[in-house]
Amino acid sequence: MPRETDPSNNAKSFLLQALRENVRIDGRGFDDFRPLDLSFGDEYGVATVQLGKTRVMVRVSSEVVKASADRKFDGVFTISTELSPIASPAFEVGR
Amino acid sequence: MADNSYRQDQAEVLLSRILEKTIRRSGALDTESLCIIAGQKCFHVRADVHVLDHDGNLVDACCLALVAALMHYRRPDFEVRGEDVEIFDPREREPIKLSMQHQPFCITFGYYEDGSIMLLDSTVLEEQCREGEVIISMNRFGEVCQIAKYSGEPVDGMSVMSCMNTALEKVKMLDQFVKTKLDEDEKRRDAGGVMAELRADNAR
Repeated sequence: MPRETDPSNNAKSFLLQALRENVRIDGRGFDDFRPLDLSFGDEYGVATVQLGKTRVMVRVSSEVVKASADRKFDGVFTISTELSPIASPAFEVGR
Repeated sequence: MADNSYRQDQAEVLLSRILEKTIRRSGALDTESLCIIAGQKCFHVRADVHVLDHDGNLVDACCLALVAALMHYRRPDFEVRGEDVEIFDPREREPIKLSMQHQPFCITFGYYEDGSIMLLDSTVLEEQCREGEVIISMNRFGEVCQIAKYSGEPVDGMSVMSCMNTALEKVKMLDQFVKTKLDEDEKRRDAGGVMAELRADNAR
């Protein structure tokens, strides 16, 4: 299966040496987030977060179903996550 | 996450497990409010998380997006008449916000040099070089929902405690950020609701 490429030894030791000198490669402070953006779609329940180059979209939807017998007074809430190959070449479909 | 120390299926399992623990098991969404008729009908709320681009810190980004989407979503209104349920179209009746009990956020700390250096919001390269990670979830009241440390070198208890303080500060910032964005969005789409549109003297 494909894997994320390993960073080279030079890149690795450069990053670690920089950290020892209290510097991050992109110049941020240790406790700083990258530029953060949150936008909503036209429909209710669609949110997209952009954090630096990381980008995540969540869509919330609902339907009416039969209640489960053992939890009569509760609705159902499920979360499904998907890492698709669009995000990184190391991700494969159907895994 | 998703760096060389994990395989992809593990990364996906870890991501969904952490979201599950942070949001579902901490009771962020009040599932009792989704009940329509006890034992017969209820709402099934489904959240689909799609990662579109990956440059590190997936957990924090997914958690933030998920909480924001849940706060943004509105479910259709309904009316119960005896045994019958009528679900109203959004055009008929204004849809209703989900009832959230609190808004938890995840903060991931990557550590280096035996835990003496703690980094927030790592990029992929920083994730590949780190010795381990600690994922803390809490809400703006400082209530911790979960702490996860699945791999890597041991980390000192005291430094986890100091992470808590940093995490609380960041969670407050994220909470405020989401609220500001939601307010902006509400203002943008505020047409005064169905009643305003039905009035004869509206803008049209």
